[in-house]
Amino acid sequence: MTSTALPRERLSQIPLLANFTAREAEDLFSIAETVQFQPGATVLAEDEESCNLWIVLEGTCEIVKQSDQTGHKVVLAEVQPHQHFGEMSFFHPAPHSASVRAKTAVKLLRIDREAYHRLVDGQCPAAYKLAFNTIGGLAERLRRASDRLADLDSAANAKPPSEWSTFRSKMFDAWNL
Amino acid sequence: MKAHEAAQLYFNRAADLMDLSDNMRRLLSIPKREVQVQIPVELDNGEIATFVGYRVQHDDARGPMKGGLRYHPAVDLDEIRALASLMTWKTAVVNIPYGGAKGGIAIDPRKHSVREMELITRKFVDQIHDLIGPDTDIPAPDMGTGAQEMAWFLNQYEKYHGYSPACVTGKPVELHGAEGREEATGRGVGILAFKLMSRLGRKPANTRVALQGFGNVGSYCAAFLAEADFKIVALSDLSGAYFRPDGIDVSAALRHARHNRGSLEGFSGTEKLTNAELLELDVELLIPAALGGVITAENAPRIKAPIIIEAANAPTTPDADALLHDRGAVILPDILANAGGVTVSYFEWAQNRQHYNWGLSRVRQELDKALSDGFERVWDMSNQRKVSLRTAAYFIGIGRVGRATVLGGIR
Repeated sequence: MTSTALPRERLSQIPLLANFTAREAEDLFSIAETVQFQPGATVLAEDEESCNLWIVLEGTCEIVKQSDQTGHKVVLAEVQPHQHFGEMSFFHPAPHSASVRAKTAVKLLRIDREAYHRLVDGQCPAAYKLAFNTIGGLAERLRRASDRLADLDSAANAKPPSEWSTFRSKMFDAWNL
Repeated sequence: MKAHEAAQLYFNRAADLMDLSDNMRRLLSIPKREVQVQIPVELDNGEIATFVGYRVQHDDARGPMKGGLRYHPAVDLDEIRALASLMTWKTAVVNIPYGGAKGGIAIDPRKHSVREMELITRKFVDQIHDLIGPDTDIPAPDMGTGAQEMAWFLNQYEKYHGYSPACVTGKPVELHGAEGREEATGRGVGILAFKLMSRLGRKPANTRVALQGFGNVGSYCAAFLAEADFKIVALSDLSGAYFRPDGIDVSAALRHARHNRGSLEGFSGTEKLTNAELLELDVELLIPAALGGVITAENAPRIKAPIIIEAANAPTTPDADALLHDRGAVILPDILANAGGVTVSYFEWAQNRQHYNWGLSRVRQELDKALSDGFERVWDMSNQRKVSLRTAAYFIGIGRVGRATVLGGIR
């Protein structure tokens, strides 16, 4: 893990930071650092706790989960440049539900929770914008999860056609020649 | 394989293709009611004999149940049950408003006097009269029974229920029977042979026929086919088979049998073969009109006839059926081929109930129409669904019974 200078020119491409003023970006960069990982390196490990928000600057990360049944590792998703991860632990510390590892060589921007709280305490707009932008993505995921739950629920409760009505349609439609 | 296993197998073959659930198959195949009764009689020699009688009422979704009474030593519940289900599909295929039933007594009627047979028949009626009736279940003749047994049956039934000529069919013409009933099964086979041949583009005169069995079905069938210009080259009965490559004079055979207690024994001008050899003759049309189970996987590879009409019940085992079907043979199945008998039984019942005699020509005309309609439906279904005529007949039978069952409901 190495720290390098902040690549300011790329920050406008990052959705999480897209509406930041130059001043706000500056404030955020003051608490962030860039970190590099080699392919295959673990950025954060399942079941461990850490409280950073990560933004991919270069390369691709994989979100990996160990299957309960087989013990095999399953790739759940990939995180492409300018996307972020770690936001759930960042706002609400808890063991990571999956691991993140570098698929390629990656360069990441790491925002530390403690440092971020200092921005909040200083009533820095960058802190609120970052929170607001992150919550937008979380809300979108929550909405999708709710929809899926509702679908699963209605699928589970939908009655299959009765044996009698299946037979009726066979006799009257398929075999009534 | 026994007859009842074959019947269930043919039903399941069709039900598989129709994709029917196991539960619906059970509903369609388990009989509505099965009765077994004791028939004790004092024989002429003073001995007490106890016979076992059966009546299986298979299905009544489409109307009162209908089926023959069989007197034969091999009768048992399994056989009667299978034959009862065949009646359900048979009445449905020719679309007469009946369900299916069958009954019988395990007895060899040839070993008993006429007096004993009358007693046994009457005692059987005593045991089942409250389970049958013109609106419930209407017996008819089958193997080992005929018009005389039906007359006893009617007489005994009426002792309990009063005038009820429609409680049984196949009665003597002198006792509410219908003209044309006795010839009906054999004539029906002939009508269907004619239909099938014209569909297959064969002329009767160029069609050589081997006919096994010269009883009620075989003899009337032979007479009809001869009249329709078919070339009958072989006939047979219990005494053996009679073969003449240039064609047999059927009216001479009928005369011979009439003066010889029904037997062809000693019929001259023909080559004598066995019944097994008759089945393997080089002919265009083979009609087994005697026993069940005569065409098996063993002799099927040697059977040369490209067309088989099942005048008997279940003459082809399922194994043999598959072999012949694969070879391209056309088999007109029993549930259609011999339905002429039950069809004219329906006409007899209808005449009894309307107290009006149709006369022979109307009976024949309506028989021709009922069988022709049935044949055309089966033929079309077979072509449409690319299945054998047997499977097509089951499709139609199961479909009609299934629709009636759905409409009536089970609540």
